[in-house]
Amino acid sequence: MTNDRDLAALLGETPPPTAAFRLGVLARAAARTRRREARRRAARRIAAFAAIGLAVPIAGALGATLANTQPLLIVLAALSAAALAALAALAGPRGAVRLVLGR
Amino acid sequence: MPAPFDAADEARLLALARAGDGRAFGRLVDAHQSAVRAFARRLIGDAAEAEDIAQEAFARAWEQLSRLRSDASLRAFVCGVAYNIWRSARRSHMRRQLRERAYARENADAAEQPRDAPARLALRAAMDALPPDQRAALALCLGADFTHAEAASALNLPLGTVKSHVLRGRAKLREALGLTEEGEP
Repeated sequence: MTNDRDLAALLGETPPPTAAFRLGVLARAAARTRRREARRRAARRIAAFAAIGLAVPIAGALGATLANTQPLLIVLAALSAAALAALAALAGPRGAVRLVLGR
Repeated sequence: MPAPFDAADEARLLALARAGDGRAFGRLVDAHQSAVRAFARRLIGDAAEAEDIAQEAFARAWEQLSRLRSDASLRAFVCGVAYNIWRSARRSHMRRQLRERAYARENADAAEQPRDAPARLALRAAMDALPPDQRAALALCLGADFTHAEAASALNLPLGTVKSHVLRGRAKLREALGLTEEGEP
């Protein structure tokens, strides 16, 4: 037991490459990607709802009332409905639901 | 056993892996897993925990491949990631490891031991007593065929520091085994 390789072998042998290790790495990488995308979706959803929640008090502070913004709201509602219909037509009903829910 | 490949092949596989090609990354894992797992085993001592950290290091390295310089070694990069994971997990794991090692020592007499078990235990104890940087430099350079320069790049340490860590660490391990520098007891 005189050289570095002997010492290293006593501390831990060099294992041969195995497919199980590779599969473990790929499974972990996939799980990390899923978690990262879930966090991104959650952040997008929080940002969208926060923007909607902030829009009403900001509009109120700027003097907008339901009466004087009604035409704008009607146009927004019509555009949203048209966008949903277009998505449903392009991606199918399930695809549209997935897009709306962010899944 | 995967077929060995040259630097050009590795560069091509790295480019594919950066673009998200899982098969290319799998081939890189096969080529470097032995070196990274051996480093983790020597650094940590616990085979199961070492496997866990080595797998996590590869998975994180895949996400960070864009940070790998074109002239840098992938296995040194992955070992560096493994070292950082180990260092950040070390405090929380320390108590558990102490408990498990105490239990292992209590049961060591009852179980049948391999012939070199006392030497392994003495080496492990000496290794565990070393500071983290020195321990990692030794784990890389002792038997894993890493050059001092590669170890310096993996551990983000100056080359001279790595050389002195290896020299002093090796002396401490030999001392733990009761060996002189010439190798005689």
